[in-house]
Amino acid sequence: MNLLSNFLIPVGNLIMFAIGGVLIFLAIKKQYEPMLLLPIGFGAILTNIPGSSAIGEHGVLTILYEAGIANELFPALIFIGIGAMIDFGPLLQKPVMFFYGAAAQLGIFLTIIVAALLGFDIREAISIGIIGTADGPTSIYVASRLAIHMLGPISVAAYSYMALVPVVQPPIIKLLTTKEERRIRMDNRTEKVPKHVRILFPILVTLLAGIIAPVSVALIGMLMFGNLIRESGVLNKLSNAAQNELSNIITLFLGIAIGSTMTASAFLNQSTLLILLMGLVAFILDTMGGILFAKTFNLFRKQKINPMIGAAGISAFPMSARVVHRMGLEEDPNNFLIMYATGANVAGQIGSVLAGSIVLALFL
Amino acid sequence: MMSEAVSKSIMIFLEGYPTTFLATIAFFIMIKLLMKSASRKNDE
Repeated sequence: MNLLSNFLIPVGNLIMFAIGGVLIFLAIKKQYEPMLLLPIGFGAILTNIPGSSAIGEHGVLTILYEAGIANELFPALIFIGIGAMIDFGPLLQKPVMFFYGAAAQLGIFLTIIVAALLGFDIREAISIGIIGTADGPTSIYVASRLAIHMLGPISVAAYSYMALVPVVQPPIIKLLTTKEERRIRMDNRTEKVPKHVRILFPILVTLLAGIIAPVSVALIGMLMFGNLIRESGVLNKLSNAAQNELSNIITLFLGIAIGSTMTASAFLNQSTLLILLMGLVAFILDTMGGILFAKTFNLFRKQKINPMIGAAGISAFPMSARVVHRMGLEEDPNNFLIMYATGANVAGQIGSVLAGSIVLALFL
Repeated sequence: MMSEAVSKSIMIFLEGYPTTFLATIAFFIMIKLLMKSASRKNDE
């Protein structure tokens, strides 16, 4: 066998090496979702080496992919870690924020329509629209159920735009709100949330969501299981394990296994560009949906809510809340929006999983 | 003529978005009740 012939690497594979390199660069240099983009980037390189033993029947990446992505196991397990990390206290104190978390899912639904208009079939259109959940595991979960061939670009789009929230959201927020609106101060009085409420919350949310959309149980159930572990107060070791070891290991496997789907033939096509573009559209529409809802809601409220908080209703946690809080401080150094924005942001976490599940329930 | 994918996507929007809101109304009521029962307990 002539090993020199191995140097004849097809152009498509070389381009994929470059794309993998760009993802690694963004992860390290720009710190854009490094936990996901670095493994995805390296996975893409491993996969595109001609004759790579990492993929194929006995390839380690293919085994990982079959074990955790093809059967939707990894996204579900990641939700245990996310649930253990989230403090739903701000939402429990300001439950009205739930509506903001629902409103900001607009981008999912409108992007599905746009993707369908662009010629994607309905399974693909749904998978693309779900990028608008601003929630990586939900995007992966839905794409692996409906359009597994698009998993690579959808994951890259989902995680890239999540990292770009501080770039994407501020111009839209400024465009849709006046200076006066951005200066609306919020009442920051806090209310103690009793322990039994914190414990009942994940159980009741799981039951309600499960009754509304049984398909949501795998995701909401795992999210709330993680949160129950956290709030129970008797499973601190498990809570820490879910937040750290479990979450980190699954993220590692998830990222590199997604990278294994990024073969040149699957990734280098017009659809990938459209998916990346649609992902951005979804994030923009989500942000617009949240802000416009907040402005409309204010028409009926005596005590106005700063409409920027609507933008935090997307699920990109905690970036979106931080962006809104920072913008509030820029307009008025004494305006602290963090509690409301965090409430909307964690509501968006539930809203996004719910919206994704409702879309699946309507389709399946 | 509208393609099947487009008509389905519109149906998903018309049913899905309001359903997401309805679900959050249920969550909202649930939390309000929980918090109210908690404050009543505190008052006692």
